[in-house]
Formats: sequence, structure tokens, C-alpha cells
Amino acid sequence: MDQHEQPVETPGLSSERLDTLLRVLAAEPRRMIYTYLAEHDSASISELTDVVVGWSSARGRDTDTCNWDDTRTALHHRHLPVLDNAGVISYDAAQRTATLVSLSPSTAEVLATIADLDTAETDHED
Amino acid sequence: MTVRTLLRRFEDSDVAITVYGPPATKTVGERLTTQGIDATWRKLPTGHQNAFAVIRRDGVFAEAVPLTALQSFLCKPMVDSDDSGTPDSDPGRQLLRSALANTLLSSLTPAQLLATSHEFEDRAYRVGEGTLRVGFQSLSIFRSQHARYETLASDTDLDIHVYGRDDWEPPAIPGISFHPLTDTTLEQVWLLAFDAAGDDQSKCALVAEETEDGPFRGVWTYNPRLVDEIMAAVVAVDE
Repeated sequence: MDQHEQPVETPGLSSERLDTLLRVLAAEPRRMIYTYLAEHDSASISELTDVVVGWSSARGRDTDTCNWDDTRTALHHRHLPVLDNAGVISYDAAQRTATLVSLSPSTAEVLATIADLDTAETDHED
Repeated sequence: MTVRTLLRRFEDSDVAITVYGPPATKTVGERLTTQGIDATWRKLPTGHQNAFAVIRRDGVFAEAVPLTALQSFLCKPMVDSDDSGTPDSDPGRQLLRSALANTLLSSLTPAQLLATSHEFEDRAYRVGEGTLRVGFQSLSIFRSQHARYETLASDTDLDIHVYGRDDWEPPAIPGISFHPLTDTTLEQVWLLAFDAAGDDQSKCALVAEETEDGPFRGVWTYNPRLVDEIMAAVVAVDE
């Protein structure tokens, strides 16, 4: 069989890159942010805070992520910079806006799989 | 203060609600728009049970509520009109009431008003004392609530006053005073106000006015000063 007829495999990820992506999505608020931006491309920090606070309380999470001001601070100082450093989003701290960046197919696949598993696990009622 | 001037106070309030959830939840956003609320829907791949709504007042985050509570109120309010059992409370519904408090809703159905009234009657039942004033437009409308109020009066020390156009003579119930109205001020008004025996934390009121084209526009509140004002206005009508 001609190996060129094999389905095209997405190029693999280096183990460092995989580690980074797993670390980035190890925090639930960051999975929420990724999932939301995958749907809407770009959002203000206020909108993302609404999503994290609302979704966390809908999932019955602790009050930590249910306090709006604290969550906004955590997004601004921690979660959004972490996603930005990993090259998943671009966070404009001056404009307080986050935008999903164009991802390589393998990165997109890893992120989408984790996000899907996350919503399937926690929102399994549907 | 008339009901119209009271409702006018809420006309300019800046309330915006964003519904987050799967495509099926889009209709909730549309229902809110029907109520005159600035509502938007944003797609989010959650399950239905985890869909939620974020309420902003004057541009500032006020509250996030599960969509299920909002949806059942807007799409199919539960009305057990001849429920004479012990009233109970549901935390989801209470959350919804507080989320939409002080918000003028422009297209309320009698079923939605009745569901809200029941919540407040349940609150009065739990407090067990104080004055409860209700107006159902005409006394004949009270007829379907009769058994419920009988329980409310017999199980508690509430001082209950029922107002309405004089079109039916209700049977005497200890603890309930009926006020047949000849004045037309409350003729198009659905009203319920509870002073919780002076406990500001438990006061509540609902005021709605029937519009020309059918539905009611109304508001409910837990603001103690506002509740006091409404109580006083009702008393004044009967004097």
C-alpha cells in the first residue's frame, strides 16, 4: 500500500508543548475561558468574568470563583496571562480584551478534546 | 402614591440580562425581551442544567442565576391554584425572585403573577406574623385562592387584608378582613404587600397593573422602604 494514501496525521506535539497545554488547562477557569473564546473568538475581561462566575456557580463550585471582583482579578493577573504565554490567546491588558489566536491543528485538537471532556463530564445531564 | 407613579419609577432602571447556554436556551432570551428587558443570548456548550444567566444593573454585575429557574418562571410558571397544603419554599425560585426584583416587567401573565404571589404568601407563612395586604382586582378572583388563604390564616398569626371590587361575597374567615372597594384606583391592579411585622429582612411586595392590551406590567421588591410605601398606599385607598 502506498503510504501517501494513509490519512494525513497532524504533526505531533513536543512533550514540552504538551506539558504546557495540559498545565494551562489544568485550571477550570482557564478551560471555561478557552471554551468560551473557541465559540466567540474575542471577549472583554468583564464578559469572561461573567462567564467564569456564572458557569462556576451553575456547576456548584466554591464561592472562590463565585465572587465577581476576586475572579476578575484572578483572570487579569493569572489566568489570562497564563493562556497568553502559552500562545493560546492574546490578552491585551490595556484594552482588557482576550482574543483566541490561530492555533496549529494539533494544539487545537488537544485543547478541543480537553474542553469537550470537561463539558461532557460536568454538564453531562444533556 | 398611585401604582402608575410607582411603576414609572422603575421605567428607567438599567437592567441587562445575558443568557449563556446551548441553542435551546435562546428562547429564554427572547422571553426576557418580551418583558421589556435588555436581553442577549450567548452560545455556550453547557448542558441544559448548567446554563445560566448573568444580570447586570447599571452596567455592573449583580447576580448569576441558573437558567432553569428563570425558564420555568418565563415559560411555564407553576400554579397550583387550589393548593391548600403547607406552603413550601424552593431556593431556585427564591434566587429568581431576588434576581428580577426591582425590575419592571412589561408583559406578565396572570399565571406569573399568581406564582409570584404564592412565593410571597409562602414567605408570610414562614414568618407567621405581621400584616399581609392583597388586592386581586375583584373579590371574585380571590375565590380560587380561598382555600390557600384559609390555611394561611388558620396556621399563622397573620393579619390578612383582602381588597377587591365588590362582585362576590366571600365567606367569613377568622384572621382575614375583606375590603370591598368602590374606588376604582385598584381596579386594574394586582397587589400583594407584606410587612413581616416590621422585620426589614422579610418584607416584600408585588405591584402590577393591567395594560390596555391584556398583560400586566409590574414589579416586585424586597426594599423595605418601598414595601412600607406600598402598604400605606393600599390603606389610603380604603380610607
